[in-house]
Amino acid sequence: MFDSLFERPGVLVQGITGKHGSFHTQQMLEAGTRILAGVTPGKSGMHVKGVPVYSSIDDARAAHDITISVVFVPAPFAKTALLEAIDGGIKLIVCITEGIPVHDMLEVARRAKVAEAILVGPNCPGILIPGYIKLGIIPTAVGTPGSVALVSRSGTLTYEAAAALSAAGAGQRYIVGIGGDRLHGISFRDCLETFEADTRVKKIILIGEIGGADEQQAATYIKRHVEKPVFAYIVGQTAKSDTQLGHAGAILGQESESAAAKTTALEAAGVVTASSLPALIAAVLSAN
Amino acid sequence: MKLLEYEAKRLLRDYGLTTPAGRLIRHVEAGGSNGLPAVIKAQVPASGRGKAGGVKVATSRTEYSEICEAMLGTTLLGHVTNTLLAEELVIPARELYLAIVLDRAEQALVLLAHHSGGVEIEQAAAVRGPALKLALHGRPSRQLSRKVAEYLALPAQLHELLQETITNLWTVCTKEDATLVEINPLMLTADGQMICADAKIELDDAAAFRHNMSKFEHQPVSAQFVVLSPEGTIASLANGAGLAMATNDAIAAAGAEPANFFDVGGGTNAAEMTHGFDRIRALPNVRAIVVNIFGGITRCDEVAEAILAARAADKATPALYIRLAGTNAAEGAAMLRAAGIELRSSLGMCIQQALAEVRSGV
Repeated sequence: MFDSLFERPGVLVQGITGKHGSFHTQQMLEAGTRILAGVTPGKSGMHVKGVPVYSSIDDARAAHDITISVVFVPAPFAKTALLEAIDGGIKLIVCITEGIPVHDMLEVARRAKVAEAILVGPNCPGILIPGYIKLGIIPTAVGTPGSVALVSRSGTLTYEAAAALSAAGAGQRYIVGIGGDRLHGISFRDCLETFEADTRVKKIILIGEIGGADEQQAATYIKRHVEKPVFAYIVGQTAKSDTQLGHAGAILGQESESAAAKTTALEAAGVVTASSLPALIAAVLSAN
Repeated sequence: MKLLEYEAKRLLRDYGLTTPAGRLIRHVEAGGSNGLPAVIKAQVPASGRGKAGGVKVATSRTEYSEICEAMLGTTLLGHVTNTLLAEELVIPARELYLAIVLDRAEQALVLLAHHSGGVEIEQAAAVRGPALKLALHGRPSRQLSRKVAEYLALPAQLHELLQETITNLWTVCTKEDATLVEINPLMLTADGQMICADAKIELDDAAAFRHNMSKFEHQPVSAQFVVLSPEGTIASLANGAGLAMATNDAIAAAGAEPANFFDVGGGTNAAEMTHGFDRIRALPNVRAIVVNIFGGITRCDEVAEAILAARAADKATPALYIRLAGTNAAEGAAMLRAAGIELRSSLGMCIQQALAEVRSGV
C-alpha cells in the first residue's frame, strides 16, 4: 500500500503558505522528506522554506515529478484540494486537516477509490518512517529507526507511545496515524497488511478508540492473515453512550463500539491487549 | 447535533415531504375545538419519549391544557421540555420505517427500510425480520426505489410517491449535511398519503460553518470538554483526544471516578484553558485535577503558562497534579515550580497523589 513511499518520492504540500503548512514543511524537510513543491491558489511565484509555490497541482506537476501530497488546507476548502490531488494523479494523499464535513469526505473517498489513490486521514498526524521520511506532523524526535510498526487513531498518544519505545531502545519501522474522524482513508486493516508484508517489521502495535468497527475488522484480519505478534490498547473505557469525546469518530453508539467489546475481539484474534499505555509498552518490550 | 422533532419536520417540509398538521406550544393554553383530538409531544432530543410519558393524546380542551401544563418545564430523559408539538391525530393504514444514515464501514450513505414501523429498528429487525439495507452512491435511482417498494409490498399506485419520498429524504440529507434522517413511523393513510409521523435528524457539526444554525433551539456543543460524571472526584485534562481518554482510563483503573474529558488541543490558548478550568471548578465533588501533557509540536512551557493563567483567576482551584513530558518540559517545570507547583514524574504518580488528596478530604 505504501509502495510510493519507497521510490524516492517527490512530495507536494497543499496549503503550504498557511501557518501550519509552512511550519511543518520546515519540519518535514529536516526529517529528510523531498518536498519539491507547494500549492496555494493565487500564491504562485512565492517560496516557502525554499520550496517553490504553485497555484495548482497541474502547474506543480508540470515542473516536478510528484507522487505524494500532504494536505494542510483548512476544512472549508479541503474537499476541493483533495479532489484536485486525486484528479491530478497523486497516488498517496496524507490529509492533516481537522473538521472536514463528512459529506465532503463521502465524495472524496468515492473518487479516491475510483482513481486508486491512497488516502491517509483526514484529521490525522500522518506517517513517520524514522530516519527516512516524514509526511505530516508527527514530531521527528519521538522516533528512532527500528522494527516496531505502530498504527493509531490518535495523535499525541501515538507520539507518547513512540517516545516511550525509543527511550527503551525499541526503534520503529512505521508510525502511522489513520485519523480520528468517522470517515477516513486507510484503515487498521490496510496498515496490518503492509506491516505483515514488510520483512523489516517484527512487532505490531495497534492503538484504537471507541466508536466504529475498525478494530473488529482488524481483529478478523489478524486472525486470518497476520503471523507477527500484535499488541493493542483501546482507549475510552470511561466513555458514556452517545457522547462524543474529542474526535468526531470517538462516539459510542452500539455496545460493539465500546473499548471492552473491541478489546475482547482483539484478544480472541490472539492479540496481546493492555489497559494502559505503560502496560502496552511493557508488553511489547518484554516479548521476544 | 440532534434536532428536535419539530425542527426536523420543518426541514422535511422544506424539501417537499408531508408531516401531520401541527403547532408549537411554549405556554400553557386551552386547545381550540377544531384541533382535537391532538397528539401532544414533548420536544426533547432523546429516544423513548413515548414510554417516558412525553407523548399524549388529548381528546378534549380540558385534557389538552392539562397535558400541556404537566409536560412544559419538566425534565424528560435528561432534558428540560421547553416546547411541545401538538399535531392532528393521523390514522394510519400501515406504519413503515424509512431512514438514510451514514454508514462508517461502508463509507457511504445507506437507505434502511422496514415493513414494520413504529418501534426501534433494531427491535423490528429482531422480531419481524431483517431490514432492507441499500447503499446510496449518489441520487437514488428508480431501480433502487422499486426494490424498496417490493420489499415493503406497496401497491403499484404508491410506487411513484415512494420514489419521490426517498429522493426528498436523500436531498434533505445531502443538502443539510445530515448523518441521519429517520422517519419512524412513515404512515400510509387510507387515502394514499405518506406522512412523516415522527422524525429524527442528526446534523454534522463539522458542516455548521455553511448552514444557518441560529434557527435551531440548541447549538452544537464542543466535544473538547465533556462532563462524564457530575459526582466525579478527579478532573483531568490532556493535549489530544486519545491522550485525554487514556488519562481517564488510568484514573478509573486506579479506582476513582473521572469527572470529565478535556482535550486542550495545542494547549496554549489561555482563554480556552480558563474556560475549561471554570467548568471543572463548577463540578462540586472535584478535589484534584490531573494534568497530562506530552509536548510534541506543543511546547510544555506554553502549556504551563496557560495553566498558570487559568489557575490565577482569583478562584479556588482544586489541587493540581501535573506531568509534563516532551518538548520544553524542563522550561515548563521551572515555570510551575516558581509558582509553587511541583511536578510529578509520571501519570501514575499524579493519579496516586490525587487519590490520596480525595481520600484525605472524606
